[in-house]
Amino acid sequence: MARRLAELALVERSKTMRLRWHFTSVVAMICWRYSPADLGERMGHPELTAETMTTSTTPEKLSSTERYPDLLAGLLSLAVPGLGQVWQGWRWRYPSRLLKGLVLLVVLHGMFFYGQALGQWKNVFLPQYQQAMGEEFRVLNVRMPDWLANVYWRPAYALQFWMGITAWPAIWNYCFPESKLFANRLGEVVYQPSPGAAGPQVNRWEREQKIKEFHRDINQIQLRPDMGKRWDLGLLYTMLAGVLNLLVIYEAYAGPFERSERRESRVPLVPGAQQATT
Amino acid sequence: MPNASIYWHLPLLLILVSLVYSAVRSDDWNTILRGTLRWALYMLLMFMAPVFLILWFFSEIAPRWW
Repeated sequence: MARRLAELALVERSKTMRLRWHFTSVVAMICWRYSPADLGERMGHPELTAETMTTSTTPEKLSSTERYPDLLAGLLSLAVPGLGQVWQGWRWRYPSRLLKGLVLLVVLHGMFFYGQALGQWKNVFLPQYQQAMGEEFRVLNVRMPDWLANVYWRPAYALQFWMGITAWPAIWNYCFPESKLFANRLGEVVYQPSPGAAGPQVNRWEREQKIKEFHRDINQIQLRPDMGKRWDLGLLYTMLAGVLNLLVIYEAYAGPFERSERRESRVPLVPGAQQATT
Repeated sequence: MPNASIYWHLPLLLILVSLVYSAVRSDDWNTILRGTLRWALYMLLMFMAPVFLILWFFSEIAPRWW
Protein backbone atom coordinates (compact mmCIF):
# COMPACT_ATOMS: atom_id res chain seq x y z
CA MET A 1 0.00 0.00 0.00
CA ALA A 2 2.75 2.41 1.03
CA ARG A 3 4.74 1.43 -2.06
CA ARG A 4 1.74 2.03 -4.33
CA LEU A 5 1.16 5.46 -2.83
CA ALA A 6 4.84 6.28 -3.13
CA GLU A 7 4.67 5.31 -6.82
CA LEU A 8 1.70 7.59 -7.26
CA ALA A 9 3.65 10.45 -5.72
CA LEU A 10 6.55 9.60 -8.00
CA VAL A 11 4.30 9.79 -11.05
CA GLU A 12 2.95 13.12 -9.89
CA ARG A 13 6.44 14.43 -9.37
CA SER A 14 7.84 13.22 -12.66
CA LYS A 15 4.86 14.63 -14.56
CA THR A 16 5.16 18.18 -13.40
CA MET A 17 8.37 18.21 -11.30
CA ARG A 18 6.16 19.68 -8.68
CA LEU A 19 3.89 17.86 -6.28
CA ARG A 20 0.33 18.52 -7.18
CA TRP A 21 -1.59 19.28 -4.11
CA HIS A 22 -4.44 16.88 -3.91
CA PHE A 23 -5.42 14.17 -1.51
CA THR A 24 -3.40 11.34 -3.08
CA SER A 25 -0.26 13.44 -3.03
CA VAL A 26 -0.74 14.40 0.58
CA VAL A 27 -1.25 10.81 1.71
CA ALA A 28 1.63 9.66 -0.49
CA MET A 29 3.98 12.27 0.94
CA ILE A 30 3.08 11.27 4.47
CA CYS A 31 3.64 7.57 3.63
CA TRP A 32 6.96 8.41 2.02
CA ARG A 33 8.03 10.45 5.01
CA TYR A 34 7.66 7.41 7.27
CA SER A 35 8.84 4.79 4.79
CA PRO A 36 12.34 3.19 4.87
CA ALA A 37 15.09 5.66 4.02
CA ASP A 38 16.27 3.62 1.04
CA LEU A 39 12.85 3.16 -0.57
CA GLY A 40 13.72 5.55 -3.42
CA GLU A 41 16.94 3.70 -4.11
CA ARG A 42 15.14 0.36 -4.11
CA MET A 43 12.65 1.75 -6.63
CA GLY A 44 15.48 2.86 -8.89
CA HIS A 45 15.31 6.55 -8.05
CA PRO A 46 18.11 7.29 -5.59
CA GLU A 47 17.52 11.02 -5.87
CA LEU A 48 14.22 10.61 -4.04
CA THR A 49 14.70 10.94 -0.31
CA ALA A 50 12.36 11.78 2.52
CA GLU A 51 13.36 15.40 2.14
CA THR A 52 12.86 15.70 -1.60
CA MET A 53 9.56 13.83 -1.55
CA THR A 54 7.97 15.65 1.34
CA THR A 55 9.06 19.13 0.37
CA SER A 56 7.22 20.87 -2.39
CA THR A 57 9.38 22.50 -5.02
CA THR A 58 7.32 25.62 -4.64
CA PRO A 59 7.02 25.86 -0.89
CA GLU A 60 5.30 28.73 0.75
CA LYS A 61 8.05 29.28 3.26
CA LEU A 62 6.57 31.72 5.66
CA SER A 63 8.04 32.62 9.00
CA SER A 64 5.99 31.85 12.09
CA THR A 65 5.27 35.54 12.53
CA GLU A 66 3.89 35.68 9.00
CA ARG A 67 1.75 32.61 9.54
CA TYR A 68 0.24 33.57 12.83
CA PRO A 69 -2.08 34.89 14.12
CA ASP A 70 -4.51 33.28 11.72
CA LEU A 71 -8.02 34.38 12.60
CA LEU A 72 -9.72 32.42 9.82
CA ALA A 73 -8.13 29.16 10.97
CA GLY A 74 -9.18 29.90 14.56
CA LEU A 75 -12.77 30.43 13.45
CA LEU A 76 -12.69 27.26 11.35
CA SER A 77 -11.49 25.26 14.35
CA LEU A 78 -14.19 26.87 16.45
CA ALA A 79 -16.83 25.68 13.96
CA VAL A 80 -15.32 22.24 13.32
CA PRO A 81 -12.51 21.07 15.64
CA GLY A 82 -9.31 20.53 13.67
CA LEU A 83 -10.58 22.14 10.48
CA GLY A 84 -8.38 25.21 11.00
CA GLN A 85 -5.26 23.04 11.10
CA VAL A 86 -6.44 21.11 8.03
CA TRP A 87 -6.96 24.39 6.21
CA GLN A 88 -3.52 25.66 7.19
CA GLY A 89 -1.86 22.38 6.22
CA TRP A 90 -3.57 22.50 2.85
CA ARG A 91 -2.83 26.16 2.23
CA TRP A 92 0.82 26.00 3.31
CA ARG A 93 1.46 22.55 1.79
CA TYR A 94 2.35 21.25 5.18
CA PRO A 95 1.39 17.54 5.42
CA SER A 96 2.14 16.98 9.08
CA ARG A 97 -0.10 19.89 10.06
CA LEU A 98 -2.84 18.64 7.77
CA LEU A 99 -2.57 15.20 9.32
CA LYS A 100 -2.64 16.74 12.76
CA GLY A 101 -5.87 18.56 11.92
CA LEU A 102 -7.45 15.33 10.70
CA VAL A 103 -6.39 13.48 13.86
CA LEU A 104 -7.74 16.26 16.08
CA LEU A 105 -10.97 16.26 14.10
CA VAL A 106 -11.46 12.53 14.50
CA VAL A 107 -10.39 12.40 18.17
CA LEU A 108 -12.51 15.32 19.38
CA HIS A 109 -15.60 14.34 17.44
CA GLY A 110 -15.12 10.75 18.57
CA MET A 111 -15.01 11.87 22.19
CA PHE A 112 -18.02 14.13 21.81
CA PHE A 113 -20.26 11.64 20.03
CA TYR A 114 -19.17 8.77 22.24
CA GLY A 115 -20.06 10.90 25.27
CA GLN A 116 -23.45 11.67 23.76
CA ALA A 117 -24.04 7.98 23.08
CA LEU A 118 -23.15 7.12 26.69
CA GLY A 119 -25.72 9.71 27.80
CA GLN A 120 -28.39 8.24 25.49
CA TRP A 121 -28.11 11.37 23.29
CA LYS A 122 -29.76 13.46 26.00
CA ASN A 123 -26.86 15.27 27.66
CA VAL A 124 -26.23 18.24 25.36
CA PHE A 125 -28.91 20.85 25.87
CA LEU A 126 -29.50 24.37 27.12
CA PRO A 127 -32.68 24.69 29.17
CA GLN A 128 -35.01 27.65 29.62
CA TYR A 129 -35.28 27.34 33.37
CA GLN A 130 -35.46 31.01 34.24
CA GLN A 131 -38.29 31.67 31.80
CA ALA A 132 -40.16 28.49 32.66
CA MET A 133 -39.80 28.19 36.42
CA GLY A 134 -40.87 31.72 37.23
CA GLU A 135 -37.87 32.24 39.47
CA GLU A 136 -35.43 35.07 39.00
CA PHE A 137 -31.77 34.27 39.58
CA ARG A 138 -30.03 37.25 41.07
CA VAL A 139 -26.41 38.19 41.66
CA LEU A 140 -25.88 41.12 44.05
CA ASN A 141 -29.61 41.76 43.76
CA VAL A 142 -29.31 42.23 40.01
CA ARG A 143 -31.45 39.99 37.86
CA MET A 144 -29.30 37.81 35.63
CA PRO A 145 -30.20 37.83 31.96
CA ASP A 146 -32.13 34.75 30.89
CA TRP A 147 -29.32 33.19 28.86
CA LEU A 148 -26.76 33.69 31.64
CA ALA A 149 -29.07 32.29 34.30
CA ASN A 150 -29.78 29.25 32.13
CA VAL A 151 -26.07 28.64 31.52
CA TYR A 152 -25.56 29.04 35.26
CA TRP A 153 -28.03 26.21 35.80
CA ARG A 154 -26.53 24.12 33.03
CA PRO A 155 -22.78 24.88 33.23
CA ALA A 156 -21.94 21.70 31.28
CA TYR A 157 -23.19 23.40 28.14
CA ALA A 158 -20.75 26.28 28.66
CA LEU A 159 -17.99 23.72 27.96
CA GLN A 160 -19.83 21.64 25.37
CA PHE A 161 -20.49 24.80 23.35
CA TRP A 162 -16.84 24.95 22.25
CA MET A 163 -17.25 21.76 20.22
CA GLY A 164 -18.72 23.89 17.45
CA ILE A 165 -21.49 23.03 15.06
CA THR A 166 -22.09 19.63 16.62
CA ALA A 167 -23.13 21.36 19.86
CA TRP A 168 -24.80 24.45 18.43
CA PRO A 169 -28.15 22.89 17.47
CA ALA A 170 -28.89 23.10 21.21
CA ILE A 171 -28.75 26.90 20.91
CA TRP A 172 -31.08 26.79 17.92
CA ASN A 173 -33.56 24.68 19.87
CA TYR A 174 -33.17 27.07 22.80
CA CYS A 175 -33.87 30.17 20.69
CA PHE A 176 -36.37 28.71 18.23
CA PRO A 177 -38.19 25.90 20.06
CA GLU A 178 -40.97 25.73 17.47
CA SER A 179 -38.60 25.44 14.52
CA LYS A 180 -38.37 22.01 12.92
CA LEU A 181 -34.87 22.47 11.50
CA PHE A 182 -33.44 19.44 13.30
CA ALA A 183 -36.47 17.24 12.70
CA ASN A 184 -37.16 14.11 10.76
CA ARG A 185 -39.76 13.66 8.01
CA LEU A 186 -42.52 13.23 10.53
CA GLY A 187 -41.77 16.62 12.03
CA GLU A 188 -40.46 15.24 15.32
CA VAL A 189 -37.48 17.06 16.77
CA VAL A 190 -34.58 14.62 16.35
CA TYR A 191 -31.89 16.66 18.09
CA GLN A 192 -32.80 16.79 21.74
CA PRO A 193 -35.21 19.65 22.47
CA SER A 194 -34.43 22.35 24.96
CA PRO A 195 -36.36 21.64 28.17
CA GLY A 196 -38.71 24.46 29.06
CA ALA A 197 -38.47 26.03 25.64
CA ALA A 198 -41.87 26.44 24.06
CA GLY A 199 -43.74 28.80 21.80
CA PRO A 200 -45.48 31.92 23.06
CA GLN A 201 -48.90 30.25 23.10
CA VAL A 202 -47.77 27.76 25.75
CA ASN A 203 -48.50 28.91 29.27
CA ARG A 204 -46.19 28.60 32.25
CA TRP A 205 -47.95 25.55 33.70
CA GLU A 206 -47.41 23.62 30.48
CA ARG A 207 -43.75 24.66 30.42
CA GLU A 208 -43.29 23.43 33.96
CA GLN A 209 -44.91 20.13 33.05
CA LYS A 210 -42.49 19.78 30.11
CA ILE A 211 -39.52 20.38 32.39
CA LYS A 212 -40.78 17.89 34.95
CA GLU A 213 -41.34 15.35 32.22
CA PHE A 214 -37.79 15.95 30.93
CA HIS A 215 -36.29 15.50 34.39
CA ARG A 216 -38.33 12.37 34.97
CA ASP A 217 -37.02 10.99 31.69
CA ILE A 218 -33.42 11.87 32.57
CA ASN A 219 -33.73 10.35 36.05
CA GLN A 220 -35.17 7.14 34.67
CA ILE A 221 -32.20 6.83 32.32
CA GLN A 222 -29.72 7.36 35.15
CA LEU A 223 -31.48 4.86 37.42
CA ARG A 224 -31.47 2.09 34.88
CA PRO A 225 -29.48 -0.85 36.27
CA ASP A 226 -27.34 -1.16 33.15
CA MET A 227 -26.36 2.52 33.20
CA GLY A 228 -24.16 2.60 36.25
CA LYS A 229 -22.12 5.79 36.07
CA ARG A 230 -22.22 6.03 32.31
CA TRP A 231 -24.36 9.14 32.43
CA ASP A 232 -21.64 11.03 34.29
CA LEU A 233 -18.98 9.53 32.08
CA GLY A 234 -20.82 10.68 28.97
CA LEU A 235 -21.06 14.18 30.38
CA LEU A 236 -17.34 14.08 31.13
CA TYR A 237 -16.48 13.04 27.58
CA THR A 238 -18.59 15.80 26.01
CA MET A 239 -17.28 18.50 28.33
CA LEU A 240 -13.69 17.37 27.94
CA ALA A 241 -13.99 17.45 24.16
CA GLY A 242 -15.21 21.06 24.36
CA VAL A 243 -12.40 22.11 26.69
CA LEU A 244 -9.75 20.42 24.56
CA ASN A 245 -11.11 22.19 21.51
CA LEU A 246 -10.38 25.51 23.22
CA LEU A 247 -6.71 24.54 23.03
CA VAL A 248 -7.12 23.51 19.41
CA ILE A 249 -8.82 26.81 18.52
CA TYR A 250 -6.03 28.83 20.08
CA GLU A 251 -3.38 26.65 18.42
CA ALA A 252 -4.97 27.26 15.02
CA TYR A 253 -5.02 30.98 15.73
CA ALA A 254 -1.61 31.45 17.34
CA GLY A 255 0.45 28.44 16.27
CA PRO A 256 2.01 25.56 18.22
CA PHE A 257 2.53 26.25 21.91
CA GLU A 258 6.11 24.97 21.99
CA ARG A 259 8.34 27.96 22.54
CA SER A 260 11.15 26.61 20.37
CA GLU A 261 8.77 26.32 17.41
CA ARG A 262 7.63 29.90 17.89
CA ARG A 263 11.20 31.18 18.04
CA GLU A 264 12.19 29.72 14.71
CA SER A 265 12.38 32.47 12.17
CA ARG A 266 12.04 30.10 9.23
CA VAL A 267 9.79 27.17 9.86
CA PRO A 268 10.74 24.17 7.71
CA LEU A 269 7.96 23.03 5.45
CA VAL A 270 8.08 19.53 6.84
CA PRO A 271 9.46 19.27 10.36
CA GLY A 272 11.76 16.32 10.63
CA ALA A 273 12.80 16.40 6.99
CA GLN A 274 16.14 17.87 7.98
CA GLN A 275 16.60 15.20 10.62
CA ALA A 276 16.01 12.51 8.02
CA THR A 277 18.90 13.72 5.91
CA THR A 278 21.36 14.25 8.72
CA MET B 1 -20.81 -4.91 37.07
CA PRO B 2 -21.85 -1.71 35.34
CA ASN B 3 -19.66 0.44 37.57
CA ALA B 4 -16.48 -1.59 37.09
CA SER B 5 -16.38 -1.01 33.37
CA ILE B 6 -16.10 2.76 33.68
CA TYR B 7 -12.51 2.44 34.88
CA TRP B 8 -11.49 1.14 31.47
CA HIS B 9 -12.23 4.63 30.23
CA LEU B 10 -9.44 6.10 32.35
CA PRO B 11 -6.48 4.97 30.21
CA LEU B 12 -8.41 5.89 27.08
CA LEU B 13 -9.10 9.40 28.39
CA LEU B 14 -5.51 9.68 29.52
CA ILE B 15 -4.18 8.85 26.06
CA LEU B 16 -6.65 11.10 24.24
CA VAL B 17 -6.03 14.11 26.47
CA SER B 18 -2.26 13.59 26.19
CA LEU B 19 -2.49 13.27 22.43
CA VAL B 20 -4.47 16.49 22.00
CA TYR B 21 -2.27 18.38 24.45
CA SER B 22 0.90 17.20 22.71
CA ALA B 23 -0.57 17.95 19.30
CA VAL B 24 -1.16 21.60 20.16
CA ARG B 25 2.45 21.95 21.29
CA SER B 26 4.17 20.91 18.10
CA ASP B 27 3.77 20.17 14.40
CA ASP B 28 6.35 17.40 14.29
CA TRP B 29 4.74 13.99 14.63
CA ASN B 30 7.76 12.44 16.32
CA THR B 31 7.54 15.13 18.99
CA ILE B 32 3.77 14.72 19.25
CA LEU B 33 3.94 10.95 19.77
CA ARG B 34 6.81 11.21 22.24
CA GLY B 35 4.93 13.97 24.08
CA THR B 36 1.79 11.85 24.20
CA LEU B 37 3.64 9.02 25.87
CA ARG B 38 5.43 11.37 28.23
CA TRP B 39 2.30 13.21 29.35
CA ALA B 40 0.32 9.98 29.71
CA LEU B 41 3.02 8.48 31.92
CA TYR B 42 3.39 11.72 33.87
CA MET B 43 -0.35 11.95 34.61
CA LEU B 44 -0.49 8.25 35.41
CA LEU B 45 2.42 8.29 37.84
CA MET B 46 2.16 11.78 39.32
CA PHE B 47 -1.61 12.15 39.58
CA MET B 48 -3.59 8.94 39.21
CA ALA B 49 -1.21 6.66 41.10
CA PRO B 50 -1.06 8.94 44.20
CA VAL B 51 -4.85 9.32 44.16
CA PHE B 52 -5.20 5.53 43.92
CA LEU B 53 -2.76 5.02 46.78
CA ILE B 54 -4.52 7.54 49.02
CA LEU B 55 -7.95 6.02 48.34
CA TRP B 56 -6.58 2.50 48.77
CA PHE B 57 -4.95 3.48 52.07
CA PHE B 58 -8.13 4.96 53.52
CA SER B 59 -10.36 2.15 52.31
CA GLU B 60 -8.16 -0.88 53.03
CA ILE B 61 -5.37 -0.06 55.47
CA ALA B 62 -6.70 2.69 57.70
CA PRO B 63 -9.88 0.80 58.80
CA ARG B 64 -7.68 -1.94 60.33
CA TRP B 65 -6.03 0.59 62.63
CA TRP B 66 -9.18 2.25 63.89
